[in-house]
Amino acid sequence: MKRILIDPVTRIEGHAKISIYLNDAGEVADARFHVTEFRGFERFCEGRPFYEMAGLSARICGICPVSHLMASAKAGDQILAVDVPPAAEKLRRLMNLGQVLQSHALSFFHLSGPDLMLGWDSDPASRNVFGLIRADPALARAGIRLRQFGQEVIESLGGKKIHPAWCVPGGVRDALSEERRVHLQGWLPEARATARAALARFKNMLDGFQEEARTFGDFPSLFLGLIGPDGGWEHYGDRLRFTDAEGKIVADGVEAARYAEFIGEAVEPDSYLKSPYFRPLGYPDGCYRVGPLARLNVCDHIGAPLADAELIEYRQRGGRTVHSSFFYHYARLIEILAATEFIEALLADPDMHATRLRAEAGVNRLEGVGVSEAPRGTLFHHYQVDENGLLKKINLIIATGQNNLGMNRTITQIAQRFIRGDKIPETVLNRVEAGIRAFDPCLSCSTHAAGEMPLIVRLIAPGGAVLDEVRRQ
Amino acid sequence: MTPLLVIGYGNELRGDDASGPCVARRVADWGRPEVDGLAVHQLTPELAAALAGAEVVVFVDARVEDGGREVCLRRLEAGPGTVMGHTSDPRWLLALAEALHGRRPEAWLATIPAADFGLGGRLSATATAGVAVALRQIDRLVHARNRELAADADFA
Repeated sequence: MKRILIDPVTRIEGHAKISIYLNDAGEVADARFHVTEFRGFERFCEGRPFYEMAGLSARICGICPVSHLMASAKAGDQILAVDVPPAAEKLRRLMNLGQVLQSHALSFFHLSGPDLMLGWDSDPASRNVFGLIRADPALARAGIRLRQFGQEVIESLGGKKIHPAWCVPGGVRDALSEERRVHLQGWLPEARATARAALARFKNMLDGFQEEARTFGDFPSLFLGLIGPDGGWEHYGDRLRFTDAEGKIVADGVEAARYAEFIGEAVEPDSYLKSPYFRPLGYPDGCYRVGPLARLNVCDHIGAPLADAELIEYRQRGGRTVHSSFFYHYARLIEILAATEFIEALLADPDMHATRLRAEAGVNRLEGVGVSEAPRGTLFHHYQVDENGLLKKINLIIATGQNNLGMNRTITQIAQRFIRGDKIPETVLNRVEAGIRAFDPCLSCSTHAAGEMPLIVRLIAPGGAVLDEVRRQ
Repeated sequence: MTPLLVIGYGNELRGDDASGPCVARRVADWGRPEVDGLAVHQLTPELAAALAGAEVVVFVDARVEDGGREVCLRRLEAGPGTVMGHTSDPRWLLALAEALHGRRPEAWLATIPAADFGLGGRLSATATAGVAVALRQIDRLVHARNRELAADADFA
């Protein structure tokens, strides 16, 4: 068996490589996505006070620190055994929406936009954000400003765009000032117009992307996302819904604290990325996907008029349960639009100026699970503490990890469709990478704890002979 | 338009990596109309608008110990640089400013030697000394800029 290596994968958040295995007939037999960087937050945060975790875990990543803040603070809420004040929940929701919006804007306009707008076969020298600017400067500029709006939401609440230490166990530190509230409201028309323009542009292009829609990870799987009390789209609550490939609900209203009954975590020797799976179906049959595609699949509706109208059209185009990972891009744009609507509603809420923002308590439970929807999917923080609140055990289940099995299937499908022989033309290489980019993986936080996963590096010759093997246990 | 903008970048919880933001904050604290400071964790794409709105930009970053103990100040040109999705380098950002907004400022990069990137909010003696030197260099740039502007005004 021959192996074709793509290293590094470009225009994703972090470092990774892909191995593509050919059989003796020279056909693609399998493909694997490897994460090659190691972080180890689960291990080195042990012994720290649980209330430090929000700030510490936010440092995991400069792209979605808010998601970790949310999940960590919610795990802290559980340890304090408090309900956060309603105004604090609204403010947390506002910040999380800003996070979803800014991250999705980056993914669509910066990372995947060059492929989508310029084409997979366009000149690689200009298939980047500068090429995008040359092709459509107004859209490119609007995309950057859209991300800026999301960052402004975060900064308005947390005091800074990256790593705001604002969300804490029990609530939040500060309300939104009137000046910043008005400032953010002023952004909304432009942000919404950009989202709608991008959606219109994407839908116009979609007919030309039929090949990609069929081959970029179009396969049946389960889907997981948070769900609102009325079956609505959710990004902050604590109830989980799993649906199957036909859209049938297989687990609903599951409290986040019970996640381990439904989610198992496998490890593979060739990647730092964990491979979570739906436990009742076992590994790897319990492959499920999270993120924008999954959130739109599991919800009955979004709960925002413009986004709900788009959801209807989305389902007309892709089906009630959309299988193609290529539709992650489309789902991301609908979520951006939804975020502008939810942000608008929250900014008009009188609770933005509330003063009761934090429930004070000590350690009342020795275990807590916090969950939130990060831009890339459902994020779990699970802490066990001693009676002084010092962390004894930490488990983080990250969106990118939960999509690991889906990403492997996606790149296998793309490779099987496009690779002929033992060479990878640049345009095929880019399609394989684009299959990964559809998931918008963020590798900063999705790697496993120190020392718990063996790593094997194999040098494989044509014919399958292993020439060398390095094993770290 | 901002006459001179100092953008200091780095992680303020990783020891000497904070030297860039430290310089930018000190500059902002000067309160002088001809210069402003912006402390950021990373160079993100939306900073392109701030660059396009400045006449001169000085990026300030920590430098991994390379044996040299001097603060290096050098001119920068726009270029491909490197970009990692959510973060980039100064040359890439300058190119982005030009592509998006049709102009880029005169740009400089000051690098401060670093001795310790460990967890913590304190600068080493090496970085502390470097911060002071960088501030003096920026002050000289401001004065030079003021002299140029005054000469231009006299000429006009």
